[in-house]
Amino acid sequence: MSDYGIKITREGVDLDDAGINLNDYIFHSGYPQLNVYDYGSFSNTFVGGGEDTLTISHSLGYKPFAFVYMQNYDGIAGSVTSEYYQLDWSTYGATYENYAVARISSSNIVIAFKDTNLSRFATLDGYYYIFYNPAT
Amino acid sequence: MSVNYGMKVSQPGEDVKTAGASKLMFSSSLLTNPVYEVVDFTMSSDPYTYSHGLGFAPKAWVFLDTGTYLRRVPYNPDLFDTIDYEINSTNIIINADSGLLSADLIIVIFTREVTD
Repeated sequence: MSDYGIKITREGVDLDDAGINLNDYIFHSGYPQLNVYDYGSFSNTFVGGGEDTLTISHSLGYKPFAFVYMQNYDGIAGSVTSEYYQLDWSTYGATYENYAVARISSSNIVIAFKDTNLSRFATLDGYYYIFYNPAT
Repeated sequence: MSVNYGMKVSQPGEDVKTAGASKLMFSSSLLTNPVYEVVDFTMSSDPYTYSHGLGFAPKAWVFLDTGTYLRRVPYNPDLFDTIDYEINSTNIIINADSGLLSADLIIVIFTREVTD
């Protein structure tokens, strides 16, 4: 059986170069792209003190690769950050817990936020990206 | 005469002749991140070394599989335990604290070098 396929090298690299390696290809039909299943933004009000969550559903039926970026509540400044932080992150002390994590299951992504020093609530904006697993 | 060869595919509704890079599904002048392999394994040592065989340090993502959830690595579930990783031209090396020494992990290795 013939071995069909498409290969495209980066600019300046000849397909027939003897020293070519995988990093020289822009596209190689033998290696899949990591395709985006879904992405979006959210704005959620998290209640301080205990853990509060936001659930984003998907219908892939397996645990996909996913990334979430979200603002944080700066307890010292007493305000929401302008920056977005990639989840998961956490800080723990003897008497406090502060974390934002993304728990990726076969049906949803649970974004959990906890700040034991936050007495009321904070509205945090974020973005999520869910990828197909090419090995599934 | 120098000829500028290449290929572009635009998103639906975008004119490929005028679309900016963010509106392209593919362009032979933009680096992509193809997947070299996806590897599932259980840590059996600390550090745990996975040899990728690429000859350069590739981009890679690591996820911890708790059974119910995937969690991005570096992962720091509590005050005491952390798991993280480093990449070189031959290996991906996973370092874990005592509570995560038998963790189930998934590595996504790309064909793209970390310096690209």
